[in-house]
Amino acid sequence: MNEYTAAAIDHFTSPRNVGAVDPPDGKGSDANPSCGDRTTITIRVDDGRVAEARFRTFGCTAAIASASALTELATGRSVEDAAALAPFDVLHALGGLPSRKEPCALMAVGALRAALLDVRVRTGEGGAFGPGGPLPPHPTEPQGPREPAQTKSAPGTGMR
Amino acid sequence: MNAATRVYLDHAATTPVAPEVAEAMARVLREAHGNPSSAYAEGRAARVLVDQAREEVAAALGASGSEIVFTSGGTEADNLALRGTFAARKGDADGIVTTAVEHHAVLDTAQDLAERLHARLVVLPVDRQGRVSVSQVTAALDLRTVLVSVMHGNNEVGTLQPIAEIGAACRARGVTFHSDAVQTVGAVPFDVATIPVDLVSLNAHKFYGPKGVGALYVRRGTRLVTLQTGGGQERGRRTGTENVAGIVGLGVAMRVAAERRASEAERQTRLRDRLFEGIVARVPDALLTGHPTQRLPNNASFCFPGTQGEALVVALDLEGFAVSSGSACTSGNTEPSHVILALGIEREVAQGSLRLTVGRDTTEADVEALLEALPPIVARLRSISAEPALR
Ligand SMILES: Cc1ncc(COP(=O)(O)O)c(C=O)c1O
Ligand code: FES
Repeated sequence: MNEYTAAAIDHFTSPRNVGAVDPPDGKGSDANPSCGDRTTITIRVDDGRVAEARFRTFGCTAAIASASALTELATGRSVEDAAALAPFDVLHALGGLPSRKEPCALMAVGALRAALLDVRVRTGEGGAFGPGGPLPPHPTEPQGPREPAQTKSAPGTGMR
Repeated sequence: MNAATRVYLDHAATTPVAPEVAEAMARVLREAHGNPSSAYAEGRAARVLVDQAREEVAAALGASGSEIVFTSGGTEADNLALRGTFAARKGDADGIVTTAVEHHAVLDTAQDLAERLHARLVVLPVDRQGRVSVSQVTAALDLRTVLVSVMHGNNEVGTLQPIAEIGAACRARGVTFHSDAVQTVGAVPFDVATIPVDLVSLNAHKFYGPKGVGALYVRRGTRLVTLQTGGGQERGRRTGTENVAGIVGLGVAMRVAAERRASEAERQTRLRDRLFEGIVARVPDALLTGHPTQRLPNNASFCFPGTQGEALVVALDLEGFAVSSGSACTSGNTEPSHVILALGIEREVAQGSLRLTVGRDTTEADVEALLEALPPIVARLRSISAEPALR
């Protein structure tokens, strides 16, 4: 595949959840080492669920669309479920990305996991090795195949 | 979006084929099937076409026909110039001098010669405007320097190099001087009678000719070893049956470009300057890249801090504009362009580079449309990235 899908373009042109939760319960960033592009995600957690997730991305179309789609996927999920969201889920929500652009989806997931970890640190639950148990690996580490998470909003119709 | 509403502002990547060129090529394909090396009528007819084109290209450069070697394009011309000169070196000569802003066809070839054939390579830095100075080049020369290669017009930021002065310095020391003039031949005057250059690369598709055909000008007496062996065409310097239709297309494109050069350069310079002025007025913190005046008439290039080039290109494409970021020749590569980095622009700012290159078909209305479309796109991308740490 070498073109963006209508869903990816919709997330790019009308990104959801741009900005920052202020003050956040958790904040995390990740970068794409090959280009230096960056995503920061801030979240508010209510009752063990992600009540709000917002992002800022300095990056390409794929990076922006991925962060937008991922904040949507995360919102309303339990912290554990949100931490289990994987690059695969982002790609599924976007209907795929051009193959050379797939790595750009990783940093959204990395940023979300870092934000969720930050929540645990801030609430005294401990970090990666605290009582909350180990966190999922960074998205750049190999992972087995899994079922896609359900997309809550209809894919966009924004192709113009 | 239908094709009629598209605005093409990427003439540095390639240009549409001029109608005169397409017509001439179609006629060759339909009517002249002979092999130019054959002795009978059909062959002789094809030979006449190739030689006419050779004369047209030579005339536009102030050269003679025997100094023109047809190639498959700019990349091959650059490779033939560098590899062919290096292979023809004598004694302990092994030095190559070039600049940090060359096209990959030169830079990667020079690096390959350094790695595999132990060429001593000097890659000269450029100033903030992308210029290399004659004194830098002179200082890099020594008794073992074989070749200096400095491009004429930069494909990304448009900066013109002082190649006449550099050529004179090389000539004074007996060093072969090559210039990649792919972006300038057809756009600005290029006369080998006044520019002391030994090898010049050009390709047709940058001046409204077909893709896949170009030429290397080889000044009489320049030592050059062929890269290919075979039937001996092009006086043994580039063997293989000629791309007759492509060569005819190159010749016609060259003639048309020479006829229109003066008026087009003036018109395109006005459009380019309107882009500069309009973008600086409408986009906060827009950074012009390249030299303000010593630049290609059609090139307006920028960096917009807080944006990323691929996102700019996709957003403008969605609005009907064809533009590029970094070099189109290495698209798919998300690394910031080596040219922009060589200007000393920091990495993150370099990521937000945008190149607009106007052409024969560009109108004032096209430029105004771009000036309307761009500012909100930059603002939107900045609002997505805006975080104190990122700005
Ligand atoms: C300055 C320069 N040199 C060389 C080339 C290579 O030309 P081509 O890809 O047609 O072989 C290009 C074009 O992309 C160019 O802009
Ligand atoms: S190119 Fe940098 S994140 Fe996609």
